[in-house]
Amino acid sequence: MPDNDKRSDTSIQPAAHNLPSKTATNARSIFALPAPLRRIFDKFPLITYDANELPERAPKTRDEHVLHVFTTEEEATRGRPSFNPGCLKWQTYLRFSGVSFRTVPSSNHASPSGMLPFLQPAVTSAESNNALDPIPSNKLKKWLASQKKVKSVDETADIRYEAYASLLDNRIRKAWLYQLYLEPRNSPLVQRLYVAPCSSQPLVQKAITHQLRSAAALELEKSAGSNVVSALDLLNDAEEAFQALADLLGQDQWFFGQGHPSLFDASFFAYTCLILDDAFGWKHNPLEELLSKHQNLVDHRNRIVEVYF
Amino acid sequence: MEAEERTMQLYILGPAFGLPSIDAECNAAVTLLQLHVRDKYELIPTHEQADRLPFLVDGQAQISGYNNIVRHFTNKRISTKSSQLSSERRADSLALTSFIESQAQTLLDISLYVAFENYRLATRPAFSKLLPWHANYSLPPKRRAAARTRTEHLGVSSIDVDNVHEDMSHRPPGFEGVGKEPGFEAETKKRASLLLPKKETVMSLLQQPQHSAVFKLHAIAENFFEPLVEILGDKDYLLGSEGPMVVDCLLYGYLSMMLFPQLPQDWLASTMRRKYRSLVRFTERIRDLLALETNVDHVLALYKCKSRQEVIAERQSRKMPLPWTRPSPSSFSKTFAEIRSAIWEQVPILGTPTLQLHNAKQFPFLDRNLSSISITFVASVAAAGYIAIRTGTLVWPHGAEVQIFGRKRLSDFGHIGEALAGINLLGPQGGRGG
Repeated sequence: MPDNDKRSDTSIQPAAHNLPSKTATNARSIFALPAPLRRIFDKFPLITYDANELPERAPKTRDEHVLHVFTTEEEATRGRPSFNPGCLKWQTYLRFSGVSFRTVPSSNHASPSGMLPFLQPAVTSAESNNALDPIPSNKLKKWLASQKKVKSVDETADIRYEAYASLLDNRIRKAWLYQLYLEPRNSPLVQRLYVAPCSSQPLVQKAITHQLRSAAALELEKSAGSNVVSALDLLNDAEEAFQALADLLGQDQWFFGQGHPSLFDASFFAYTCLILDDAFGWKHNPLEELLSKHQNLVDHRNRIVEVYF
Repeated sequence: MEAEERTMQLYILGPAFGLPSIDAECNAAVTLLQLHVRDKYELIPTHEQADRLPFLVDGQAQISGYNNIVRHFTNKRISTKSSQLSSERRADSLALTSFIESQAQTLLDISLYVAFENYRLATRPAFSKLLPWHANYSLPPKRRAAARTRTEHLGVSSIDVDNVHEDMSHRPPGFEGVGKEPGFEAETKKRASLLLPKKETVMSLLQQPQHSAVFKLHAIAENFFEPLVEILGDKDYLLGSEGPMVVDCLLYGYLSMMLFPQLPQDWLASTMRRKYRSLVRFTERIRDLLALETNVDHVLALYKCKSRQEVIAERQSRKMPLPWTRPSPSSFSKTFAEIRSAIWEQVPILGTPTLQLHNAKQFPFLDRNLSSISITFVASVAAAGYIAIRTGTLVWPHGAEVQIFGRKRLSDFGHIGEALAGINLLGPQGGRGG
């Protein structure tokens, strides 16, 4: 047996030596292009096209901070307030801090965090042309603090700050949700602001309306802990909240007796601006009635509109 | 009898953990009534959810919810203390009310309902003591589900052992941030690190899910307690008043639920005792002032009493400080209706309770019930079609019942074929005959 193996080995060896050179010649003949094709490909590429233009909507200039908010095309060019309180809060806050920025209409789908607003920081020419990471709203304050040229907006150290902030985040927000989304008389408004820009298809619009409405309803259900909520209670709660905030503001210019507007003013203004806006298109606006009882709150709102918008 | 008519009735969820009620808002309402109308009201344990609890009946007026009871008291001048406050203090009181309502509920949700050990060993048994048998299957799970939706965004679910099966849901990675089992990569990394000497860095210790959830819980608790401690300061009550005010009652309602229950995981109470002594003193002060301690078994003994006199006698013999009465006896039809609605709520889509907004203009019927209407429509069309085909009213289009292959003779083609065959046969026959 060993003898046999030896013999077979020796018989294979010469063949193995021959193999590489043989396949090399074969490969050349298989993969080499036929002469007519090669002539075409020698001229390749025939024409080099220019790179495609960026889409019309793509930002032309990146040297300015861009805040993506819910707004319309023409209101964005005029720098008008956004129609969404969450966006308007940060828009106002950025105005307070004196940063120059412009707003563009956007939707939740455009945002990396799934929520508007977010800020696309400007790219200075010294840096590479790559865009910086966008900044979601919950990091905006930190970002502003890191900017050198921006005057910092000091927050009050008042121990009651948290308590009063909860008035805005709960009572007024809940009343707002009810008034805008769950009040049938205002549904044309929701349709115009949030639904129509998304789609022109009636069925899709129906679905979006339904989603918005159930999201607002879920929010109210969650905080009430039951699925029975009285609209009267919501408005009573909001009325008390306005009363408390009016007492807090008193005759001061800004909340907590500060010399300049702060984030609290911005978040309160985000609601009052829209509630008291006659051109907003409210069909049913009980909050306006509650708010106009307090002249100092109305003045506070008008002061911000005049100075910053 | 005149005094009899003047008594108010306060309907609350029954007692637990040595507190008048298992619900914080009900506790606050009891505190408020004990403060303002002591001995002029009755406590009635109930579990019905038709009206939001606490539910106060004062003569003609029926009021539900703590804030509405407070408004009622102010309007009826039952509590005049808050109107004596300066406007600034009143504003503070309102702001604190809103703060407590929003923040404290989250903490209670986590501590009593989301933390599975606490729910299984404390909250659930407390409920089963005071609820009738059928409500035990619907009310506690419902409250737990509500608590979980309220705390979902906080990412503290790792303290909830019961949600293992929910991890199969297709959530994007990193949705909950902490508390999730690290996936495959972590597993392989661990294998690889077996080759190296094991080293626990501070960072790796902090990143373990059970620890990071604890940090998160402490952060949430701090966000609630710190502002309160600062506002309370050295004062006896939040607004610096002589006696407790409306907002103190509310705060007591929530703090007592955090402090007094004996729980297997009592991080909340121990945090309070360790770091926020002034709040503990505040809670104990109000409890002792208003005699709010409740013996659950004594209240449950009242359930067995037959008459009103017996209830009063029992109450006096046991020296119960709170004016407890027995719950209104439930009839068979009522029980049946409750069971029916509880089962109906379990039906997906159709039975899922939707928001009922009272005192407001309703959306058109079609808009409100679009999903249930469309589902009912599709289901009934499908059912009607099935029945029609099953009974033979509607026949599914099909060919001849018997298909014969290889037809050759004309007589195979039914009547006409036979007739034709007859003609055809006639020919040769005639021919033969001719």
